[in-house]
Amino acid sequence: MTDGTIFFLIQLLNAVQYGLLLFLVASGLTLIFGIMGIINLAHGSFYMIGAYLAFVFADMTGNLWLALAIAVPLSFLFGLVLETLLFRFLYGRDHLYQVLLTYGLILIFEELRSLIVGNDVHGVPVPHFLDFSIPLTATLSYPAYRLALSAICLAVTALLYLLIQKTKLGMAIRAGAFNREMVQTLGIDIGLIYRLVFALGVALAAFAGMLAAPTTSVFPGMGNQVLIICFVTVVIGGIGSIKGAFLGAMLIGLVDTFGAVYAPQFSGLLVYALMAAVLIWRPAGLFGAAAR
Amino acid sequence: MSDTTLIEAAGLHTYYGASHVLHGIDLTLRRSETVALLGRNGMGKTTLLRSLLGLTPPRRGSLRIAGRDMASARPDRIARAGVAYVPEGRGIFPTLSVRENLLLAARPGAWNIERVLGTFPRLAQRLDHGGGQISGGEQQMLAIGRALVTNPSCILIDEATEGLAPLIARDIWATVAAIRAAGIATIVVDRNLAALSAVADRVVILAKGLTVFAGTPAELAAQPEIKHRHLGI
Repeated sequence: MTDGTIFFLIQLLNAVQYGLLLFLVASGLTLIFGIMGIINLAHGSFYMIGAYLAFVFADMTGNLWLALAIAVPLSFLFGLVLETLLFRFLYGRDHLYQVLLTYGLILIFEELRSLIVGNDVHGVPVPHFLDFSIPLTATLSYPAYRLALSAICLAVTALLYLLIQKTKLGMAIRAGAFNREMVQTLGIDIGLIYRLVFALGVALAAFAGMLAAPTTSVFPGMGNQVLIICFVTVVIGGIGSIKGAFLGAMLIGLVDTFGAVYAPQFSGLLVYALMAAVLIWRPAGLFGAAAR
Repeated sequence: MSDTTLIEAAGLHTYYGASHVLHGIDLTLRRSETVALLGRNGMGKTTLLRSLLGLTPPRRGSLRIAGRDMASARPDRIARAGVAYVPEGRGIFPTLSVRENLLLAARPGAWNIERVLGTFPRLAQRLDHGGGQISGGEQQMLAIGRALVTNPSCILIDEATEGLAPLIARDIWATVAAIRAAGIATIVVDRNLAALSAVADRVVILAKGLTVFAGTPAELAAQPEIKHRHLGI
């Protein structure tokens, strides 16, 4: 293979890795939006919180895997508490209330972050046994951690698919998105389903932040960038559709990565052009309700 | 209250926002009995069912189900107390397969999925179809089957045969009779008085949110002026 082909393959790996990471964050956003009807502007904050949890616990334990083992359950728990104390009062309310509360949460989370860990940029070390690059040619190589990251994201995506398609909880989630009352009259506590879905969304976003921490560093406001691109993903895929979020995230990964290489002067614009094109073609997104 | 009473509602007042729909309804459903609920459109039949199910809880009045106070209970708690629902429009989940519609509802008991498929052989051939891909008659069978696999002590069926072809409607009436024979109580809403009279132990007629008749089908047949005034027959 020529250096050019290898370079292309490396970009492809980067695109897939970015897309998968984006999917983990966007899947929770689209579930919470599609099932509970909540516009959650604070969703990017969960990504940020995940990254900082990884930083704090990796610093404490000296081991990223141990940090993940502590931080993932912690963020799930955090999601349960947040839903119980705040979000469950937003169901069925006007989007204005949701936007106000969740925007307020962004400010609170950033302020708390500033108070607890400060405003410096931090790095999280790559786990020792993955801290090497796989040489591909004389000059090109690929970091092993990024490959591992993609593999982990793929595994989580597969688990999420199994959860939604094959379990009774998944059936209740899909049914509840369509007809909440009917699910209740089957004897299922829809409030519990909502709480679990919300916490799952929080944990997925936080997990993505944790995995990304060693590759991007950890910095103030890192959730906001993710939030915007996540909304683009959800809109492209169709609100509420996990399949759509996956496809949307992959498309964005490809367009963003290859855009930065082959059309760097437009790279910031391309994903939005993609969104516009998809919406002209399918106004409800790739797998939106109207296009189903 | 005797232990054969499943649902005992007294003085139910139910509102949709500011609109006062039920004006103090009493209703009793005893074990294994089939009650026909009749009345013109907009007289409160669906609202009564929704009140009993906790979907539109009554603002005043008492509601006891299986002996427990359920006037302000959540719908899932009422469902677990043994009340199943077949709503108008059937409420099939179109994004779930026929099999999943049943699996989601199933609770342990005599009515398992195999028994439901034995009752509705047509569903057995449609198990892997989407809930939205099957015919209206099959959807109604699925809605009843889904109610049965929750192993309820009673089923509330709204508009049992609305929009169904006569042959399919006949199947549904046969099923209602089979449910009765299986010892499950039902409240059935429908327009077909003849078919209802054949399966019902009692008939209740609502008008403007009040009970205007309660008695056996034979008693109703003996009072043509009630049929004429409240059912337009």
